[in-house]
Amino acid sequence: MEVYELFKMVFGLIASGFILFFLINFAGLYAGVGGCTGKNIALKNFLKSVEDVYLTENEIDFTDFKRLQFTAAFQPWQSPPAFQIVDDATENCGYIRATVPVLSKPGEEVVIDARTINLGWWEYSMAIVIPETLVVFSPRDGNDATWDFIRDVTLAFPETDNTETKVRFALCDSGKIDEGVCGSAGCSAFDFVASILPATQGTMSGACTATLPDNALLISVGAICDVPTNGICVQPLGSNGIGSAMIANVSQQFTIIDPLDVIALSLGGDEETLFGPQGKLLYNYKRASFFQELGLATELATVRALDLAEAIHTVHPDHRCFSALTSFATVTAPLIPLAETEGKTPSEATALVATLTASKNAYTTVVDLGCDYLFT
Amino acid sequence: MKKAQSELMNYVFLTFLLMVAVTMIIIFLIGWQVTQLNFEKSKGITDRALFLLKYTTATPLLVKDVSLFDDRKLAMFAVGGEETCTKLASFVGGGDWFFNVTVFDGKAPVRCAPGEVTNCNQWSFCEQSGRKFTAFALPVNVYRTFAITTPTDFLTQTDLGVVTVGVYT
Repeated sequence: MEVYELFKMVFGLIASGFILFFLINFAGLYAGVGGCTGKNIALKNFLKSVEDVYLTENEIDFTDFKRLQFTAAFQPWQSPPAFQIVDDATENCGYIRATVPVLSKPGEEVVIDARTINLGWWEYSMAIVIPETLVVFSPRDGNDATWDFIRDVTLAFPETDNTETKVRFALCDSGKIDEGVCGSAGCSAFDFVASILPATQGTMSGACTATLPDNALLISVGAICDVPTNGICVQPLGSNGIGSAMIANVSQQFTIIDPLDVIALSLGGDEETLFGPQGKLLYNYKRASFFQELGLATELATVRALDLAEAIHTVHPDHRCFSALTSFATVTAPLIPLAETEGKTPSEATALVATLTASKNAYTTVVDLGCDYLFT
Repeated sequence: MKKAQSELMNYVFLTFLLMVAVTMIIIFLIGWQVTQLNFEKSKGITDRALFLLKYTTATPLLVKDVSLFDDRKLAMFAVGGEETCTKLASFVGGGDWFFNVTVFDGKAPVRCAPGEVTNCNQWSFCEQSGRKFTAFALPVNVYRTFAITTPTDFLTQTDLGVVTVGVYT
Protein backbone atom coordinates (compact mmCIF):
# COMPACT_ATOMS: atom_id res chain seq x y z
CA MET A 1 0.00 0.00 0.00
CA GLU A 2 1.27 3.39 -0.97
CA VAL A 3 1.72 6.10 1.62
CA TYR A 4 -0.84 8.18 -0.32
CA GLU A 5 -3.48 5.41 -0.02
CA LEU A 6 -2.80 5.20 3.70
CA PHE A 7 -3.14 8.97 3.98
CA LYS A 8 -6.52 8.87 2.16
CA MET A 9 -7.81 6.22 4.54
CA VAL A 10 -6.64 7.97 7.70
CA PHE A 11 -7.82 11.38 6.46
CA GLY A 12 -11.16 9.91 5.40
CA LEU A 13 -11.64 8.25 8.77
CA ILE A 14 -10.80 11.42 10.70
CA ALA A 15 -12.95 13.66 8.50
CA SER A 16 -15.92 11.24 8.53
CA GLY A 17 -15.62 10.73 12.27
CA PHE A 18 -15.54 14.44 12.87
CA ILE A 19 -18.56 15.13 10.65
CA LEU A 20 -20.52 12.19 12.05
CA PHE A 21 -19.76 13.18 15.63
CA PHE A 22 -20.82 16.74 14.95
CA LEU A 23 -24.05 15.80 13.14
CA ILE A 24 -25.08 13.24 15.77
CA ASN A 25 -24.45 15.76 18.54
CA PHE A 26 -26.40 18.42 16.73
CA ALA A 27 -29.26 16.07 15.88
CA GLY A 28 -29.35 14.87 19.50
CA LEU A 29 -29.48 18.43 20.73
CA TYR A 30 -32.28 19.24 18.31
CA ALA A 31 -34.21 16.11 19.25
CA GLY A 32 -34.04 17.18 22.92
CA VAL A 33 -34.96 20.77 22.14
CA GLY A 34 -37.73 19.56 19.83
CA GLY A 35 -39.21 17.31 22.54
CA CYS A 36 -39.08 20.11 25.11
CA THR A 37 -40.46 22.61 22.60
CA GLY A 38 -43.54 20.45 22.07
CA LYS A 39 -44.05 20.12 25.82
CA ASN A 40 -43.56 23.84 26.37
CA ILE A 41 -46.12 24.63 23.67
CA ALA A 42 -48.58 22.26 25.38
CA LEU A 43 -47.82 23.94 28.72
CA LYS A 44 -48.50 27.38 27.22
CA ASN A 45 -51.81 26.12 25.81
CA PHE A 46 -52.61 24.75 29.25
CA LEU A 47 -51.94 28.10 30.91
CA LYS A 48 -54.05 29.86 28.29
CA SER A 49 -56.89 27.42 29.02
CA VAL A 50 -56.55 28.07 32.76
CA GLU A 51 -56.67 31.83 32.12
CA ASP A 52 -59.77 31.47 29.92
CA VAL A 53 -61.57 29.33 32.47
CA TYR A 54 -60.60 31.74 35.26
CA LEU A 55 -62.17 34.62 33.32
CA THR A 56 -65.24 32.85 31.94
CA GLU A 57 -65.88 30.13 34.58
CA ASN A 58 -66.72 27.72 31.76
CA GLU A 59 -65.16 24.35 32.58
CA ILE A 60 -63.15 22.50 29.93
CA ASP A 61 -61.22 19.28 29.38
CA PHE A 62 -57.50 19.56 28.73
CA THR A 63 -55.84 16.51 27.19
CA ASP A 64 -52.72 17.83 25.38
CA PHE A 65 -50.38 16.42 28.03
CA LYS A 66 -51.47 12.84 27.29
CA ARG A 67 -50.18 12.94 23.69
CA LEU A 68 -46.72 14.01 24.88
CA GLN A 69 -46.89 11.89 28.04
CA PHE A 70 -46.11 14.40 30.72
CA THR A 71 -47.85 16.32 33.50
CA ALA A 72 -47.58 19.83 34.87
CA ALA A 73 -46.68 19.90 38.56
CA PHE A 74 -47.89 23.02 40.33
CA GLN A 75 -45.23 24.65 42.50
CA PRO A 76 -47.00 27.09 44.80
CA TRP A 77 -43.80 27.88 46.68
CA GLN A 78 -42.28 29.70 43.70
CA SER A 79 -42.77 33.43 43.33
CA PRO A 80 -44.84 33.75 41.23
CA PRO A 81 -46.11 30.15 41.44
CA ALA A 82 -45.25 28.00 38.43
CA PHE A 83 -46.19 24.87 36.51
CA GLN A 84 -43.19 22.57 35.99
CA ILE A 85 -43.01 19.95 33.23
CA VAL A 86 -42.72 16.47 34.77
CA ASP A 87 -41.97 13.46 32.55
CA ASP A 88 -39.95 10.26 32.58
CA ALA A 89 -36.84 11.97 31.18
CA THR A 90 -34.40 13.42 33.65
CA GLU A 91 -33.82 16.58 31.62
CA ASN A 92 -35.37 19.80 32.86
CA CYS A 93 -37.75 20.90 30.13
CA GLY A 94 -38.81 24.10 31.83
CA TYR A 95 -41.68 25.75 33.60
CA ILE A 96 -44.23 28.49 33.11
CA ARG A 97 -45.41 30.96 35.73
CA ALA A 98 -49.06 30.89 36.76
CA THR A 99 -50.81 34.13 35.88
CA VAL A 100 -54.05 33.56 37.79
CA PRO A 101 -54.85 32.04 41.20
CA VAL A 102 -55.09 28.29 40.69
CA LEU A 103 -55.25 25.06 42.67
CA SER A 104 -53.90 22.13 40.73
CA LYS A 105 -53.34 18.39 40.96
CA PRO A 106 -51.20 17.00 38.13
CA GLY A 107 -52.54 14.59 35.54
CA GLU A 108 -52.18 13.83 31.82
CA GLU A 109 -55.90 14.50 31.30
CA VAL A 110 -57.46 17.13 33.50
CA VAL A 111 -60.63 19.14 33.85
CA ILE A 112 -60.24 22.88 34.46
CA ASP A 113 -62.94 24.81 36.28
CA ALA A 114 -63.19 27.94 38.42
CA ARG A 115 -64.86 28.75 41.71
CA THR A 116 -65.75 32.07 43.28
CA ILE A 117 -66.02 33.39 46.83
CA ASN A 118 -68.63 36.14 46.66
CA LEU A 119 -68.68 38.86 49.31
CA GLY A 120 -71.20 40.97 47.44
CA TRP A 121 -68.99 44.05 47.13
CA TRP A 122 -66.13 41.96 45.74
CA GLU A 123 -65.56 38.42 44.56
CA TYR A 124 -62.48 36.25 44.46
CA SER A 125 -62.06 33.63 41.75
CA MET A 126 -59.72 30.69 41.59
CA ALA A 127 -59.15 28.14 38.84
CA ILE A 128 -59.18 24.45 39.81
CA VAL A 129 -57.28 21.82 37.81
CA ILE A 130 -58.00 18.19 38.63
CA PRO A 131 -57.49 14.82 36.87
CA GLU A 132 -59.97 11.91 36.91
CA THR A 133 -60.76 11.59 40.61
CA LEU A 134 -63.05 9.78 43.02
CA VAL A 135 -63.77 12.04 46.00
CA VAL A 136 -64.70 9.84 48.94
CA PHE A 137 -66.42 11.47 51.90
CA SER A 138 -66.37 9.71 55.21
CA PRO A 139 -69.00 11.34 57.46
CA ARG A 140 -68.12 10.71 61.08
CA ASP A 141 -71.43 11.79 62.59
CA GLY A 142 -75.01 12.72 61.67
CA ASN A 143 -74.77 16.42 62.59
CA ASP A 144 -76.37 18.87 60.19
CA ALA A 145 -73.14 20.88 60.13
CA THR A 146 -71.21 17.83 58.93
CA TRP A 147 -73.59 17.00 56.10
CA ASP A 148 -74.11 20.60 55.04
CA PHE A 149 -70.36 21.00 54.84
CA ILE A 150 -70.07 17.86 52.70
CA ARG A 151 -72.57 19.44 50.30
CA ASP A 152 -70.64 22.74 50.24
CA VAL A 153 -67.29 21.03 49.61
CA THR A 154 -68.82 18.83 46.89
CA LEU A 155 -70.10 21.88 45.03
CA ALA A 156 -66.66 23.49 45.25
CA PHE A 157 -65.26 20.64 43.11
CA PRO A 158 -65.82 20.82 39.33
CA GLU A 159 -69.19 19.60 38.05
CA THR A 160 -68.07 17.20 35.30
CA ASP A 161 -71.31 16.02 33.69
CA ASN A 162 -70.26 17.61 30.40
CA THR A 163 -66.56 16.74 30.41
CA GLU A 164 -64.60 13.62 29.46
CA THR A 165 -62.50 13.75 32.60
CA LYS A 166 -64.76 12.96 35.51
CA VAL A 167 -64.72 13.90 39.18
CA ARG A 168 -67.00 11.44 40.95
CA PHE A 169 -68.24 11.35 44.51
CA ALA A 170 -68.85 8.52 46.95
CA LEU A 171 -69.51 7.89 50.62
CA CYS A 172 -67.40 5.61 52.79
CA ASP A 173 -68.53 3.92 55.98
CA SER A 174 -66.01 1.63 57.71
CA GLY A 175 -64.87 -0.87 55.06
CA LYS A 176 -67.53 -0.04 52.46
CA ILE A 177 -67.44 2.55 49.67
CA ASP A 178 -70.81 3.49 48.21
CA GLU A 179 -70.27 4.88 44.70
CA GLY A 180 -73.93 4.60 43.80
CA VAL A 181 -75.40 7.16 46.16
CA CYS A 182 -77.18 8.86 43.25
CA GLY A 183 -78.64 5.62 41.89
CA SER A 184 -75.94 4.83 39.35
CA ALA A 185 -72.19 4.30 39.71
CA GLY A 186 -70.14 7.46 39.56
CA CYS A 187 -72.09 10.42 40.90
CA SER A 188 -71.29 13.90 39.63
CA ALA A 189 -71.27 16.81 42.09
CA PHE A 190 -74.87 17.93 41.51
CA ASP A 191 -76.25 14.37 41.51
CA PHE A 192 -74.32 13.54 44.67
CA VAL A 193 -75.55 16.63 46.54
CA ALA A 194 -79.11 16.00 45.41
CA SER A 195 -78.88 12.38 46.58
CA ILE A 196 -77.53 12.78 50.09
CA LEU A 197 -80.94 13.10 51.60
CA PRO A 198 -81.70 13.51 55.28
CA ALA A 199 -82.43 9.76 55.26
CA THR A 200 -78.76 9.06 54.52
CA GLN A 201 -77.62 11.41 57.25
CA GLY A 202 -76.70 9.71 60.47
CA THR A 203 -76.63 6.21 59.01
CA MET A 204 -72.85 6.13 58.83
CA SER A 205 -70.12 7.16 61.22
CA GLY A 206 -67.33 4.59 60.94
CA ALA A 207 -63.83 5.66 59.99
CA CYS A 208 -63.14 4.72 56.38
CA THR A 209 -60.97 1.59 56.30
CA ALA A 210 -61.81 0.50 52.76
CA THR A 211 -59.07 0.08 50.17
CA LEU A 212 -59.33 3.16 47.99
CA PRO A 213 -58.48 3.36 44.30
CA ASP A 214 -55.28 5.23 43.35
CA ASN A 215 -57.21 8.25 42.11
CA ALA A 216 -59.26 8.65 45.30
CA LEU A 217 -59.23 11.64 47.63
CA LEU A 218 -60.51 10.78 51.09
CA ILE A 219 -62.17 13.57 53.06
CA SER A 220 -63.36 12.61 56.53
CA VAL A 221 -65.78 15.13 58.02
CA GLY A 222 -66.92 15.24 61.62
CA ALA A 223 -67.01 17.19 64.84
CA ILE A 224 -63.93 15.35 66.13
CA CYS A 225 -60.78 14.94 64.04
CA ASP A 226 -57.48 13.21 64.70
CA VAL A 227 -54.49 13.13 62.37
CA PRO A 228 -55.83 10.82 59.63
CA THR A 229 -53.84 7.93 58.19
CA ASN A 230 -55.16 8.73 54.71
CA GLY A 231 -56.54 11.88 53.05
CA ILE A 232 -57.68 14.76 55.22
CA CYS A 233 -60.00 15.11 58.18
CA VAL A 234 -62.16 18.25 58.46
CA GLN A 235 -64.11 19.73 61.32
CA PRO A 236 -66.90 21.68 59.56
CA LEU A 237 -67.44 25.39 60.01
CA GLY A 238 -68.95 26.19 63.40
CA SER A 239 -71.31 28.99 64.36
CA ASN A 240 -68.32 31.35 64.28
CA GLY A 241 -67.66 30.43 60.63
CA ILE A 242 -64.39 28.68 61.47
CA GLY A 243 -63.52 25.03 60.95
CA SER A 244 -60.27 23.11 61.01
CA ALA A 245 -58.59 20.34 59.09
CA MET A 246 -55.67 17.94 59.35
CA ILE A 247 -53.68 16.20 56.62
CA ALA A 248 -52.53 12.59 56.87
CA ASN A 249 -49.16 12.26 58.57
CA VAL A 250 -48.90 16.00 59.27
CA SER A 251 -49.36 17.04 62.87
CA GLN A 252 -50.68 20.51 62.15
CA GLN A 253 -54.17 21.91 62.39
CA PHE A 254 -55.27 24.15 59.52
CA THR A 255 -57.96 26.79 59.98
CA ILE A 256 -60.79 26.51 57.45
CA ILE A 257 -63.01 29.43 56.48
CA ASP A 258 -64.39 28.29 53.11
CA PRO A 259 -64.60 25.13 50.96
CA LEU A 260 -61.64 26.25 48.82
CA ASP A 261 -59.39 25.75 51.86
CA VAL A 262 -60.55 22.11 51.92
CA ILE A 263 -59.98 21.73 48.17
CA ALA A 264 -56.42 23.05 48.56
CA LEU A 265 -55.58 20.64 51.39
CA SER A 266 -57.29 17.75 49.67
CA LEU A 267 -55.69 18.20 46.22
CA GLY A 268 -52.21 18.51 47.70
CA GLY A 269 -52.62 15.93 50.45
CA ASP A 270 -49.53 14.62 52.19
CA GLU A 271 -47.47 14.31 48.99
CA GLU A 272 -43.96 15.30 50.02
CA THR A 273 -42.10 18.07 48.20
CA LEU A 274 -38.80 19.79 48.90
CA PHE A 275 -40.69 22.42 50.88
CA GLY A 276 -43.07 20.19 52.84
CA PRO A 277 -46.40 18.49 52.17
CA GLN A 278 -48.06 19.74 48.97
CA GLY A 279 -51.42 20.10 50.77
CA LYS A 280 -49.93 22.55 53.24
CA LEU A 281 -48.20 24.49 50.45
CA LEU A 282 -51.40 24.73 48.37
CA TYR A 283 -53.33 25.81 51.47
CA ASN A 284 -50.78 28.55 52.31
CA TYR A 285 -50.77 29.70 48.70
CA LYS A 286 -54.59 29.88 48.51
CA ARG A 287 -54.76 31.84 51.76
CA ALA A 288 -52.02 34.28 50.73
CA SER A 289 -53.60 34.83 47.31
CA PHE A 290 -57.09 35.38 48.73
CA PHE A 291 -56.02 37.73 51.50
CA GLN A 292 -53.69 39.78 49.29
CA GLU A 293 -56.55 40.44 46.88
CA LEU A 294 -58.94 41.01 49.76
CA GLY A 295 -56.60 43.65 51.22
CA LEU A 296 -56.53 45.67 47.99
CA ALA A 297 -60.26 45.18 47.34
CA THR A 298 -61.05 46.43 50.86
CA GLU A 299 -58.88 49.52 50.45
CA LEU A 300 -60.63 50.40 47.20
CA ALA A 301 -64.15 49.58 48.43
CA THR A 302 -63.90 51.61 51.64
CA VAL A 303 -62.37 54.67 49.99
CA ARG A 304 -64.99 54.49 47.23
CA ALA A 305 -67.86 54.19 49.73
CA LEU A 306 -66.62 57.17 51.74
CA ASP A 307 -66.10 59.21 48.60
CA LEU A 308 -69.63 58.41 47.43
CA ALA A 309 -71.09 59.18 50.83
CA GLU A 310 -69.35 62.55 50.89
CA ALA A 311 -70.52 63.38 47.37
CA ILE A 312 -74.11 62.50 48.31
CA HIS A 313 -73.88 64.43 51.56
CA THR A 314 -72.99 67.66 49.74
CA VAL A 315 -76.21 67.45 47.68
CA HIS A 316 -78.57 65.83 50.20
CA PRO A 317 -77.23 66.15 53.77
CA ASP A 318 -79.87 63.77 55.10
CA HIS A 319 -79.87 61.24 52.26
CA ARG A 320 -80.39 57.61 53.38
CA CYS A 321 -77.33 56.47 51.45
CA PHE A 322 -74.93 58.60 53.46
CA SER A 323 -75.26 56.57 56.64
CA ALA A 324 -75.48 53.25 54.77
CA LEU A 325 -72.25 53.90 52.86
CA THR A 326 -70.32 55.29 55.82
CA SER A 327 -71.51 52.36 57.92
CA PHE A 328 -70.32 49.92 55.22
CA ALA A 329 -66.92 51.65 55.08
CA THR A 330 -66.58 51.64 58.87
CA VAL A 331 -67.47 47.97 59.15
CA THR A 332 -65.28 46.92 56.22
CA ALA A 333 -62.12 48.96 56.90
CA PRO A 334 -60.82 46.64 59.69
CA LEU A 335 -60.40 43.98 57.01
CA ILE A 336 -57.28 45.78 55.75
CA PRO A 337 -55.08 44.95 58.78
CA LEU A 338 -56.90 41.65 59.33
CA ALA A 339 -56.20 40.47 55.78
CA GLU A 340 -52.47 40.93 56.42
CA THR A 341 -52.67 38.37 59.23
CA GLU A 342 -54.18 35.83 56.78
CA GLY A 343 -56.19 34.47 59.71
CA LYS A 344 -53.37 32.16 60.75
CA THR A 345 -54.35 31.87 64.39
CA PRO A 346 -57.88 30.91 65.50
CA SER A 347 -58.44 34.36 67.07
CA GLU A 348 -57.31 36.15 63.88
CA ALA A 349 -59.48 33.84 61.78
CA THR A 350 -62.49 34.46 64.04
CA ALA A 351 -62.02 38.23 63.81
CA LEU A 352 -61.63 37.97 60.03
CA VAL A 353 -64.73 35.90 59.48
CA ALA A 354 -66.79 38.10 61.83
CA THR A 355 -65.67 41.22 59.94
CA LEU A 356 -66.29 39.58 56.56
CA THR A 357 -69.82 38.66 57.65
CA ALA A 358 -70.51 42.13 59.04
CA SER A 359 -69.16 43.70 55.85
CA LYS A 360 -71.33 41.43 53.70
CA ASN A 361 -74.41 42.38 55.73
CA ALA A 362 -73.57 46.09 55.58
CA TYR A 363 -73.24 45.82 51.82
CA THR A 364 -76.62 44.09 51.58
CA THR A 365 -78.11 47.12 53.33
CA VAL A 366 -76.32 49.43 50.87
CA VAL A 367 -77.79 47.47 47.94
CA ASP A 368 -81.25 47.18 49.50
CA LEU A 369 -81.36 50.95 49.89
CA GLY A 370 -80.27 51.37 46.27
CA CYS A 371 -77.10 53.16 47.29
CA ASP A 372 -74.39 51.28 45.43
CA TYR A 373 -75.32 52.14 41.86
CA LEU A 374 -78.87 53.43 41.68
CA PHE A 375 -79.21 56.78 43.35
CA THR A 376 -82.65 58.29 43.35
CA MET B 1 4.32 12.40 -7.38
CA LYS B 2 2.59 15.33 -9.07
CA LYS B 3 -0.53 13.18 -9.65
CA ALA B 4 -0.58 12.20 -6.01
CA GLN B 5 -0.28 15.85 -5.00
CA SER B 6 -3.15 16.75 -7.33
CA GLU B 7 -5.42 14.04 -5.93
CA LEU B 8 -4.53 15.11 -2.40
CA MET B 9 -5.52 18.67 -3.28
CA ASN B 10 -8.83 17.35 -4.66
CA TYR B 11 -9.55 15.69 -1.32
CA VAL B 12 -8.56 18.76 0.66
CA PHE B 13 -10.77 20.89 -1.58
CA LEU B 14 -13.70 18.46 -1.31
CA THR B 15 -13.32 18.37 2.46
CA PHE B 16 -13.27 22.14 2.49
CA LEU B 17 -16.49 22.28 0.44
CA LEU B 18 -18.09 19.75 2.74
CA MET B 19 -17.17 21.81 5.78
CA VAL B 20 -18.58 24.93 4.12
CA ALA B 21 -21.85 23.08 3.43
CA VAL B 22 -22.05 21.81 7.02
CA THR B 23 -21.33 25.31 8.34
CA MET B 24 -24.04 26.76 6.11
CA ILE B 25 -26.54 24.21 7.42
CA ILE B 26 -25.59 25.05 11.00
CA ILE B 27 -25.95 28.78 10.35
CA PHE B 28 -29.32 28.18 8.71
CA LEU B 29 -30.58 26.06 11.60
CA ILE B 30 -29.39 28.54 14.23
CA GLY B 31 -30.93 31.41 12.25
CA TRP B 32 -34.20 29.53 11.98
CA GLN B 33 -34.14 28.78 15.69
CA VAL B 34 -33.47 32.45 16.54
CA THR B 35 -36.34 33.52 14.28
CA GLN B 36 -38.62 31.00 15.98
CA LEU B 37 -37.56 32.24 19.42
CA ASN B 38 -38.25 35.85 18.45
CA PHE B 39 -41.61 34.80 17.03
CA GLU B 40 -42.45 32.90 20.21
CA LYS B 41 -41.42 35.90 22.34
CA SER B 42 -43.58 38.23 20.29
CA LYS B 43 -46.50 35.78 20.44
CA GLY B 44 -46.03 35.46 24.20
CA ILE B 45 -46.22 39.23 24.63
CA THR B 46 -49.32 39.41 22.43
CA ASP B 47 -51.02 36.61 24.39
CA ARG B 48 -50.11 38.31 27.67
CA ALA B 49 -51.51 41.66 26.52
CA LEU B 50 -54.73 40.03 25.34
CA PHE B 51 -55.16 38.18 28.63
CA LEU B 52 -54.57 41.37 30.62
CA LEU B 53 -57.08 43.18 28.41
CA LYS B 54 -59.70 40.55 29.22
CA TYR B 55 -58.71 40.55 32.90
CA THR B 56 -58.96 44.34 33.17
CA THR B 57 -62.46 44.35 31.71
CA ALA B 58 -63.60 41.65 34.14
CA THR B 59 -61.90 42.24 37.50
CA PRO B 60 -64.38 43.34 40.19
CA LEU B 61 -61.69 45.69 41.46
CA LEU B 62 -62.41 47.99 38.51
CA VAL B 63 -65.75 47.12 36.96
CA LYS B 64 -69.40 47.15 37.92
CA ASP B 65 -70.03 44.32 35.49
CA VAL B 66 -67.99 42.73 32.70
CA SER B 67 -66.91 45.46 30.25
CA LEU B 68 -68.68 48.11 32.33
CA PHE B 69 -66.10 50.18 34.23
CA ASP B 70 -67.10 52.07 37.36
CA ASP B 71 -65.68 55.61 37.25
CA ARG B 72 -65.37 55.79 41.02
CA LYS B 73 -63.50 52.51 41.20
CA LEU B 74 -61.11 53.81 38.56
CA ALA B 75 -60.68 57.07 40.45
CA MET B 76 -60.01 55.29 43.76
CA PHE B 77 -57.64 52.84 42.10
CA ALA B 78 -55.59 55.81 40.90
CA VAL B 79 -55.28 57.12 44.47
CA GLY B 80 -53.07 54.16 45.41
CA GLY B 81 -50.54 55.07 42.70
CA GLU B 82 -47.60 52.82 41.91
CA GLU B 83 -48.10 50.58 44.96
CA THR B 84 -51.61 49.65 43.79
CA CYS B 85 -50.26 48.93 40.32
CA THR B 86 -47.62 46.58 41.72
CA LYS B 87 -50.25 44.79 43.83
CA LEU B 88 -52.60 44.34 40.89
CA ALA B 89 -49.75 43.09 38.71
CA SER B 90 -48.79 40.54 41.37
CA PHE B 91 -52.28 39.00 41.17
CA VAL B 92 -51.81 38.23 37.50
CA GLY B 93 -48.24 36.97 37.31
CA GLY B 94 -46.29 40.23 37.71
CA GLY B 95 -44.42 42.08 34.98
CA ASP B 96 -44.70 45.62 33.69
CA TRP B 97 -47.96 46.56 32.03
CA PHE B 98 -50.30 49.53 31.90
CA PHE B 99 -53.90 50.31 31.11
CA ASN B 100 -55.99 53.37 30.53
CA VAL B 101 -59.68 54.03 30.14
CA THR B 102 -61.00 56.90 28.04
CA VAL B 103 -64.64 57.98 27.99
CA PHE B 104 -66.09 59.14 24.69
CA ASP B 105 -68.31 61.93 25.94
CA GLY B 106 -67.86 64.27 23.02
CA LYS B 107 -65.22 66.28 24.85
CA ALA B 108 -61.47 66.40 24.33
CA PRO B 109 -59.61 63.86 26.51
CA VAL B 110 -58.77 65.31 29.92
CA ARG B 111 -56.67 63.21 32.27
CA CYS B 112 -58.17 62.59 35.69
CA ALA B 113 -56.04 63.29 38.74
CA PRO B 114 -56.02 60.51 41.37
CA GLY B 115 -59.44 60.40 43.01
CA GLU B 116 -61.00 62.71 40.41
CA VAL B 117 -64.18 61.68 38.56
CA THR B 118 -65.79 64.89 37.36
CA ASN B 119 -64.46 67.32 34.74
CA CYS B 120 -62.20 64.66 33.26
CA ASN B 121 -62.63 61.59 31.08
CA GLN B 122 -59.40 59.63 31.01
CA TRP B 123 -57.77 57.49 33.69
CA SER B 124 -54.27 56.10 33.17
CA PHE B 125 -52.58 53.51 35.34
CA CYS B 126 -49.12 52.02 35.72
CA GLU B 127 -47.71 53.96 32.76
CA GLN B 128 -43.96 54.33 32.30
CA SER B 129 -42.71 56.88 29.79
CA GLY B 130 -40.12 56.10 27.15
CA ARG B 131 -40.67 52.34 27.02
CA LYS B 132 -41.73 50.26 24.05
CA PHE B 133 -44.93 48.29 24.41
CA THR B 134 -47.47 46.08 22.69
CA ALA B 135 -51.03 47.22 23.37
CA PHE B 136 -54.60 46.35 22.46
CA ALA B 137 -57.78 48.39 22.82
CA LEU B 138 -61.38 47.34 23.32
CA PRO B 139 -64.62 49.33 23.34
CA VAL B 140 -66.27 49.30 26.77
CA ASN B 141 -68.90 51.11 28.80
CA VAL B 142 -68.12 53.41 31.68
CA TYR B 143 -70.61 53.95 34.47
CA ARG B 144 -70.56 57.63 35.52
CA THR B 145 -71.89 57.82 39.08
CA PHE B 146 -72.68 61.50 39.00
CA ALA B 147 -72.97 62.39 35.34
CA ILE B 148 -75.20 65.33 36.11
CA THR B 149 -75.21 67.03 39.48
CA THR B 150 -77.61 69.82 40.35
CA PRO B 151 -77.97 71.57 43.69
CA THR B 152 -80.82 69.20 44.45
CA ASP B 153 -80.14 66.01 42.56
CA PHE B 154 -77.66 63.76 40.79
CA LEU B 155 -78.13 61.47 37.82
CA THR B 156 -76.13 58.47 36.71
CA GLN B 157 -75.19 57.70 33.13
CA THR B 158 -73.41 55.00 31.14
CA ASP B 159 -70.99 56.31 28.53
CA LEU B 160 -69.11 54.62 25.75
CA GLY B 161 -65.38 54.36 26.17
CA VAL B 162 -62.27 52.45 25.25
CA VAL B 163 -59.82 50.53 27.41
CA THR B 164 -56.23 50.16 26.24
CA VAL B 165 -53.97 47.57 27.86
CA GLY B 166 -50.30 47.28 27.01
CA VAL B 167 -47.32 45.15 28.01
CA TYR B 168 -43.88 46.75 28.11
CA THR B 169 -41.35 44.86 26.01
